[in-house]
Amino acid sequence: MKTLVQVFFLPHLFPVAPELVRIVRKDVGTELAKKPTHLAVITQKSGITLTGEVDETEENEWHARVAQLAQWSSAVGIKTLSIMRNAPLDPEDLEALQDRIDHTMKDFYKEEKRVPIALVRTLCPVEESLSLVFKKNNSQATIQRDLRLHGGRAFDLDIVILSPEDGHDRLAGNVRLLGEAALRQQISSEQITTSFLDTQLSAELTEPELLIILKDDLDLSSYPPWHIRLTEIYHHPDQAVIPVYTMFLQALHRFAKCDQRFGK
Amino acid sequence: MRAVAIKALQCGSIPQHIGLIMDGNRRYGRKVHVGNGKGYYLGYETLEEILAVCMEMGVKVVTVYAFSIENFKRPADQVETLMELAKTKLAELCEHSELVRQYGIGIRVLGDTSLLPEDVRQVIRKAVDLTKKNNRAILNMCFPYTSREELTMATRSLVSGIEAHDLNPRQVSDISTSVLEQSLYTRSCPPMDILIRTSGEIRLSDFMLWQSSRACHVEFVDCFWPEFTFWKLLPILLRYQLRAISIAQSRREYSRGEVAEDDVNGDEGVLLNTDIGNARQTALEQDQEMSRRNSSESTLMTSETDKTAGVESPCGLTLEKKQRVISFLHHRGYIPNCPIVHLQ
Repeated sequence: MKTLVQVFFLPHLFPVAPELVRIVRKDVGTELAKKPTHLAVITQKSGITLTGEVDETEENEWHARVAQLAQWSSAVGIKTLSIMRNAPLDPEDLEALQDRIDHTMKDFYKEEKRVPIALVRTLCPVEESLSLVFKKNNSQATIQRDLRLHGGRAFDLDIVILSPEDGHDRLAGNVRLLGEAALRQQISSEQITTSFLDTQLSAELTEPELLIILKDDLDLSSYPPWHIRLTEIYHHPDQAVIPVYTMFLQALHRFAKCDQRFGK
Repeated sequence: MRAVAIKALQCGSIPQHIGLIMDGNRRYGRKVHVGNGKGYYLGYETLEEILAVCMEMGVKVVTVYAFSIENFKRPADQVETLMELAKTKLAELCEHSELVRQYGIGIRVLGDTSLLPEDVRQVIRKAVDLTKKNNRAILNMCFPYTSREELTMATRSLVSGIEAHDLNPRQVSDISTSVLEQSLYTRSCPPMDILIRTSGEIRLSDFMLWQSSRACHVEFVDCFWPEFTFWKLLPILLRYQLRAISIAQSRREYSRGEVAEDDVNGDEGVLLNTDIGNARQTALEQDQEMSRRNSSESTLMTSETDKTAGVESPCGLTLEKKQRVISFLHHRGYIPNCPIVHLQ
C-alpha cells in the first residue's frame, strides 16, 4: 500500500536529480546536526560481470552514477566518497572516469566562482601500508596521507573505487604481509594489536560514517569489514521506486538524527 | 499456529547460522518502568525463546552479542548486573537446560575472556567443558567481544604460526581468506546467513563484521530486543528464503575467486623457471619437506585430522596443505573457549 501511494501519488514530490549545486544545498538545508566526512556507497553493479564480460551501456551508467554522487557529495561538504562495485576498475577506465567527473563537476558548479577538485583512485597494493606503522610522527600523518593519496595534488573530494578484492581478501593479504615481515624480524607477532592494525588498514581508507546501499537487498558486498565498525547503514528496499537522490537526502537526514552511545 | 508456520518455513531453505545483536534491553526496561537491570533479565528470557524457535526450525548455529568490550564503559552497577546474569544463566544452561540437552547444543564463549573477573571465567570454562561433546548445534555467546579484537587475535595467531614455521606466508593457501576465516572465533561454524539487530539502530557496532559483510542477509528491526518474537522473526526468514539462492551463488563466486588466486599465486615463492609443471613439482616437494620437518607431530595429527575432517577446508588444496592448516588450528592456533567441533 505504501509503495502504491509512493508510485502513484508522490512522484511529483520526489526531487529530480539536481543539475546545480545550489539546488542540492537548498534540499539538504542548513539544519543537519551532523554530516559525514566519509560517505560510502555500494552500487548495484557495474557493466563488468565476474566472468569478465563487458556491457558498455551499464558501465556507462555506472560512470554517470559515480559522477552524480561526486557532485552531490561535494555540495554537502563530504571529504571522502568510497564506491564499492562488483569488479575491479582498469586503469584506463579510471582515467575515463576522472575525465567524466571533471566534466560534470564543471557543469554542476557553473554558477559558482570555484569548482572543487574531485580526484578518483583505487587502493594501492597492501605492501605499501606497512611502512606507515613505523612512522612515529602522528601530527604530520594526516598531511602526509593527503599528499600521498593523489601523488601530491590538492583535492577537495577524495573518491575511492573499491571492489570485492579490497575487502576480505585484502585482510588475508595483510596477514601474509605481516608474516613475511615477522620472518624478516621487522616485527613480532606480539606487536600486532588493534591499534597497530588500525593504523595500517586506515592508511589507504578511513572509516565511513554513513554507508548507502543501492541494491535491492541489504548486502554489504564484501565492503572492507574492518572499516564498517560504527558505520550507519542506510538501505531502502524499494530501489525501483525511490530515486537515488531521494535516498541520498534521506540517508543524510537519518544520519544527522542518529545517536551513537559507543558502548555506554 | 507457530508449529504450522515452522512447517511452512521448512519447505524453503532454513538458515544454518543466525547472528543476533540483542539491543534495546535497557530502553525497554525504562519503557515498561522496570529499570535497566530487569531489562537485561527480560532480554535473556527472549533469548531463550528465540533460541528454542531456531532449534525447532533446524538452525545449526546461533551467535548472540551478549556483551561488547566497549560495554565495560557502562556504569559499574550495570556491568556488575550483566556479570551476575552471565554467571547464573551460563550455569543454568550447561547444567539444567532441557533445550541444551534436547538439541545437543554446544555452548561456546567468543571473545577476550581475560578481561572478565575470575569467577565469571570459571563458570565459562565449566559451561564450555560440560557441553563440548554436544555437536548437533552451537550457541555462541559473544562475551566480551568486538570484531576488531577477533580479527586482531586471528592475525596475531597466524603471524605467530608463521614465525614458528608452522605456516608459510609464500603459500597463499596457508594464509588464504578462508584460513583467516577459520582462525576467527567462529571457526567450525557454517558461514553466517542472517544477522539481525533490534532496537532500530542501523549499524553493526563491531559485531561479526567479517562474517556479515559478504553473502549474509542483514536486517535492522525497529523494536527492542525483549519485544522480539517469533512473529517478528518470521518475515525476516521469508525474506531470507527469497535471497537464499543468490546468497549461495555469491559464496560460490567468492570461493571460486579464492581457488583461482591459489592456482595463480601459490607457487610464486618458488617459481624459478617458466615451466609451470616444474614449478608445481617444486612446490609439492617443498610441501612434503615441510610435512617431514613436522613429522614428529604429524603422527599425532593423523588421528585427530580424521576426526576433524568436517572442518570447513579451502577447496581444491592438496592434503599436505590442509593438514598444515588443521594442525596449526589445533595447536598454536587453539582457542580455549571455542573448541573445534564437527557439526552433524
